[in-house]
Amino acid sequence: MGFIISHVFMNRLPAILFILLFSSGSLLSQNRHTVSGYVRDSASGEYCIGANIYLREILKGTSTNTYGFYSMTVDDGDYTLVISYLGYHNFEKKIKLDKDIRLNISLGRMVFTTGEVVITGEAQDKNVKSTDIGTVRMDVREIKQLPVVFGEVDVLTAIQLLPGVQAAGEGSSGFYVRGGGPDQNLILLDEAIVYNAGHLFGFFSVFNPDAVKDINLIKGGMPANYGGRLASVLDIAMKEGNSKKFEVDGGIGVISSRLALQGPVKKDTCSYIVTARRTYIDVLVKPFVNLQCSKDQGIIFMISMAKSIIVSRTATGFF
Amino acid sequence: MNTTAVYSDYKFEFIAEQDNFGFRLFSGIRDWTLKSDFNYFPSVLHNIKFGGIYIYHTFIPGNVSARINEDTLSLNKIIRQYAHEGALYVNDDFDITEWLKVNAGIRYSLFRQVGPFTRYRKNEIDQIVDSVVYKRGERVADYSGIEPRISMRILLNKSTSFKASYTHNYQYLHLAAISSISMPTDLWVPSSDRVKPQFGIQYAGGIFKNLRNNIFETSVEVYYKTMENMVEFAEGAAPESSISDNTDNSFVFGEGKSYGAEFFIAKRKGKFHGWIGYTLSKTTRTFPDINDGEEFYAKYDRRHDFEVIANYSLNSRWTFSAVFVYATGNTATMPVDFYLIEGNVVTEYGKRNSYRMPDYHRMDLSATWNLKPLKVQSMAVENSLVFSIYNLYNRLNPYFIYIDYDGDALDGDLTAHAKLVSVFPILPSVTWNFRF
Repeated sequence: MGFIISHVFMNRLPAILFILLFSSGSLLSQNRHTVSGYVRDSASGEYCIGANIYLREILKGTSTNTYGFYSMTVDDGDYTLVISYLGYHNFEKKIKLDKDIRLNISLGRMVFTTGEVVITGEAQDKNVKSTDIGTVRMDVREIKQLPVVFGEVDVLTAIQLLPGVQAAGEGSSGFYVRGGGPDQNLILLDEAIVYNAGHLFGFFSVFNPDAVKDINLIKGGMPANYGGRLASVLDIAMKEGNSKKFEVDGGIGVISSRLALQGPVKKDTCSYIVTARRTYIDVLVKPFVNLQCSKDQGIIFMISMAKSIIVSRTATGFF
Repeated sequence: MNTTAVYSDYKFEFIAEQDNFGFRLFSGIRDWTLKSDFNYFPSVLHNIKFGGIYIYHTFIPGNVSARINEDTLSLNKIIRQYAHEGALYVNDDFDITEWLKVNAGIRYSLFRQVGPFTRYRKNEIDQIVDSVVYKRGERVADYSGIEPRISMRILLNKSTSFKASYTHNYQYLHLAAISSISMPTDLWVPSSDRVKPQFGIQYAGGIFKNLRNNIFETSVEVYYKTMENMVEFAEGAAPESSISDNTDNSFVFGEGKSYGAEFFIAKRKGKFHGWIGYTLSKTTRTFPDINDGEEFYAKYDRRHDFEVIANYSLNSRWTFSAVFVYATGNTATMPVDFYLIEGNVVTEYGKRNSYRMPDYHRMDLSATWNLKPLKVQSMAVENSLVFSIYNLYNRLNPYFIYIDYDGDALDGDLTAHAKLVSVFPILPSVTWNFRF
């Protein structure tokens, strides 16, 4: 029985994203005002997606969007603003709402002594309380724990372990959601559409886990802001890069090595993250196979400038 | 308000070679995208989103060729296509009462294929008899659709809810798989004067319950989907490379249906956590021009799909994980008869996807060992070793089946064997991760 060798060359000229953020319009009236702002991790400066914000007195709340932004408009009064985010210390602050308030918050990470791993950063009962149906959010920390072939952590192989999501047999570049075809999944990397996320028969996706913050999969009940594909939305949020200090993450594995560099361009306002991955499977298998291809590319390379630009724009827009 | 502009240039090349089997594909898509989203919170009860997206697509000529023994099929000179795609939407997540919450939205999408473009027209015996040439920017085809979406949540008690949703969807881009080869192939084609947009409706419902103060999360979800204008290559399509042609001239169109139930239980906290999922489902297709118009199973129809994921944190240094997956095998179309016509072997295939490959199952294990931080000058380098075994009991899972011929037809001793190919045997590995 022969061994099949694939050879994939992918040139996704890094999707260049320009993102401009402007203040979201608030409804101004005489006795209602808005409290809004960003929620971030105090250590890395990464935005917290899906953090819960509520006003204790009236038990009303909202959650942060994919840019870590929240906004609530309520009747004027004195409130206690509470922010909770699993894996982080709660934040509480008394606010007097008689004008629009901008409140940016940094949350401190909890330290676990038992080695216990935090699964998700969401409200713990979100699966019961929200209108989301057929929706799963996975934290990349959870994905990184799973046993994987050749030690290669991969977001796409991780979601194939969820009900309703099928791996297309061993190592296919696609995944199938609820009987839909591989073309019926809308894969978004930040805001950019990814047409094919697979490498090497799909054994590795183009998404370097060191650059991914979290992933959200919608299998059914797709909200109207998504469209163009029938079966699912896979929304992959990338890290913005550490805006506090320089950081290096990397790994040396059997068939590939990877490196991610991140750090502030300007402290707290602008950051970058650059990741690279090189598989040497092409080198390893060369003695055993007859590769009939002219281009010999095994490099999987991805540069993310996306969120760092967002951060800098936010800075000029808001501060 | 949040506005995004994206330029993306995507090229895909895929080559697979084996002794008597080969496959090669190249294609590309270039997109200019402009997207704007607004968030509006008139009160804490409402979260209104509205916005729009516009994409200008360029589908760059691709090239596909496949080789089985000495026979090569190829699709050459795929014609470049251009299209505008856009959508507007409004969506409200509305807390009506304490127990009832509704997420309702509507999306209006439109698609226009524009020139330059050449449409070749064919007669019944597949000869090009005519062509229509469109100038730059000239309209070739127009489509639009209204897509209502609604989902609601009814809180039954503090930790239990019932949810239901109804979703309409249009899809203007299609991925055509070459039917005779069960390999992952990628050829994106836009809707055109010949290819209508895919249209889908999904009904879904489910019960969600958390137990023991959100330590356990459970759900049962059911869904029923219908899909129209799905695309496949025509049966026995082996497009000749000698003449220019539109790729979509070899397409046939049909419907799909899919329904199933998903069971999920997860333990979210504690030293021991993980989840178990089970899906019972059925996916069929009906194409007037395939399988004599009879309904057939989709290639990835999967009756049973079961997975167990378990993680255990022994202490701050050691973490263990195990994964077990089981799935019904994929379907395939197999030859049933061989004829010898003028010295050539002619294969007659059985009913579309009527053969079921053996079941797929596999177990993986991993152990993460957090090592003491390394001191490099003044820095502490956190580092860990991940030991992992993929396919622990070395199951030879089916990857695909091909037919191998032995002997010579003219000598009368030609035999055909179906061969099952497996790709990944037991694979141990170790990775060293670091961070500073």
